[in-house]
Amino acid sequence: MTIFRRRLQETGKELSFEAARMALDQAGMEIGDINAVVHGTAPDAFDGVHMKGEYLLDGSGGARKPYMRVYTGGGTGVFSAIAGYWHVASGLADVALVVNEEKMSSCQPHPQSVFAHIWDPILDRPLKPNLVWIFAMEMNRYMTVNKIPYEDIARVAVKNKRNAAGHPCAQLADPDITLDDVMNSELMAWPVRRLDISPPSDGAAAVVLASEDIVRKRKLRDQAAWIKGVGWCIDSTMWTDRDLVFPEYVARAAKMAYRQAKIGNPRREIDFAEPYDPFDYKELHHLEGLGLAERGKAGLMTREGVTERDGDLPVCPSGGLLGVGNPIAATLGIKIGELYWQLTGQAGKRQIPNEVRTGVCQAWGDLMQYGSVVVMGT
Amino acid sequence: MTFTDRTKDPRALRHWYGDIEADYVYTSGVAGERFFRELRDHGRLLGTRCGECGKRWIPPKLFCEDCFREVSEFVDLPATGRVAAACAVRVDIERNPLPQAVVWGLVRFKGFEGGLVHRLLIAPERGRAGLVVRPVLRDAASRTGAITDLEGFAP
Amino acid sequence: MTARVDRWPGVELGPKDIEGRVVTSVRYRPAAKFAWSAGEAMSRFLAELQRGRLIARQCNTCRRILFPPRMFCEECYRPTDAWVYVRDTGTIETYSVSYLDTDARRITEPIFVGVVSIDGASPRMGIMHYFGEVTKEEIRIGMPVQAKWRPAEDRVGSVLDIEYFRPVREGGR
Repeated sequence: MTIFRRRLQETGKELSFEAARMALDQAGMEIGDINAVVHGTAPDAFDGVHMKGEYLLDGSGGARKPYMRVYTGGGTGVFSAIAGYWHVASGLADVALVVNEEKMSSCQPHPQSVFAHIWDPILDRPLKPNLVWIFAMEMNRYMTVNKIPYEDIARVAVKNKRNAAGHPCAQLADPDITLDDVMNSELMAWPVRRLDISPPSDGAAAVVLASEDIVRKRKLRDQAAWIKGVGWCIDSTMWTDRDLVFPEYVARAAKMAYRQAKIGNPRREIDFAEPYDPFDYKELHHLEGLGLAERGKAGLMTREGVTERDGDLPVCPSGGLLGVGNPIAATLGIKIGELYWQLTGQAGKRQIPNEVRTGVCQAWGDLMQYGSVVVMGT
Repeated sequence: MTFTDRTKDPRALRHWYGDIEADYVYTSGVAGERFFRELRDHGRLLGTRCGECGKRWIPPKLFCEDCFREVSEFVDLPATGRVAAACAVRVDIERNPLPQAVVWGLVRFKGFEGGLVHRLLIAPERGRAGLVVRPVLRDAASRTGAITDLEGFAP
Repeated sequence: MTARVDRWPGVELGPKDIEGRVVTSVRYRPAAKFAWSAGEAMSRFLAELQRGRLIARQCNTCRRILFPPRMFCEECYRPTDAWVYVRDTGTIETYSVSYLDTDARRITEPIFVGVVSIDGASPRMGIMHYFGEVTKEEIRIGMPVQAKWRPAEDRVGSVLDIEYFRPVREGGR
């Protein structure tokens, strides 16, 4: 993966190349070893290039190969790996390369302005909505119905920004950040404050997915982690008709992935998690959807330190989107990527002290409606 | 099964008007930065050469599309190129007739993969494949480091 | 991180590198104009708004009253069956007090915005709208509210024909 920053000089193609080349080098492969390429990237409007998948493909090694671009909003960060998995699991490809890219800095003055166009043009857009509003509304409902104090939510931002201090690509790492810093940061849309939100970022990440055969033949066992289960689910776009308290779509996606991975009791069988955390409350929301916390109790787990890197269930040991950055689709590098590095013992300063054998990652997106889940193991 | 109610009077069907506002800055990137600086400051056109397979690319790229290896060697383009395809445009983007046809072409360069799409500074009837052309630059003071620093290509 | 990685690529730029044209770049503003067709359900919805009324669609299979109205039920996946008027009162399902405008610019007078579920529609079916005549101390989830309509002559067939929703004061609904 590349570094994540508010502005990078590289074009989207160049970012894609840098990430894809790194992944190939680490796997000891060349582009000729790749049978199919999956490119994940968020709305064309961020980079400001229509047919962005086609535009980027030479940079992601897709020229003259079976190639597809996938897009499920913020869910793309994990979903593109699921699409890569289909290629290999189906036997259509022995080796698939998954490359995710985002260059949000192209959009001026702030990527926020094109978010306005994801809303229904007749029902929502006349109200001139700001994207932070919907998260503020969801967070309010989540914390009010479950009676969760704001500080238990803010603790997530503190934990993740501290965890990110060990990440070489991090944009907003802060080893010294305190709960007061988050709770006293600028109020943007109550109850959301500035440090509750991940930043817009430029960046790219890539992974190589290979069949068991290839892993055996190329003697890659020592550095391989395995995809054990995948799941995805989307709820209705009529978001004003939905209960926002519990992410049903994440629960369904998780159930699908757990069934395949033969996980009956996720809280006991999963050693660590990388849920999607573009906002601090989302980590809690998603832990509940993933069945790793009881409904309304993820905040308590955070307060008790269960989700710290040395806790019983480390959550976002990478530093997450809150600490490493949020180049939408490229969060592949801090979700799938972190599972890989942790499971193979390559996470360096971020390595979870307890032995980890099974991890789950999840991404979330579109209009608060999409969940993609991958379970990986040693 | 179709909708159980249908509007019979088409005038009752409404539209909602709006636009998709957006504003962009595109950085030239790492390879593009070198290319456009040379063009702006020295009036030179550069391509890249892959150290692995020896292929030369115009416009320059940070990577070789074939070998998928990073490329760092920049090389000069030949003084002239050859038109590979051309067309004469007689209407603007909103279909208003143009006072004078504008000729566009794909110009390729010997020994290089790719090419440049740009204006051909010729009469429409001369816009044919095979025509040998040379780049025409804007004067140095008005160049900004963009593809429009080239006026186009002339015979 | 991994011993084999010695370089994490990426060239960071600051805002001045772009604004001050330290690096080369091009600027572009697309002109994308649209006329979104409102279709069956939304055309009627907008016409009723202009008359000062809220309308929904009923599904005879699941018996839900769907609001905002649509011509198909996404649960039963069949056409909906009848038009039903709903009330212009409802309940605050959630809200935010925003100090950001649509372009993320800071504002001092906050915008009250949220989701109102509408009385007469199935539970939790509602729309996003503004709230008014309420303070940030008073507003709460579960608060009963009523539409404040624009004067009939100012309505154009838009969600903005309702200026905002305001608390239902004494006398109830």
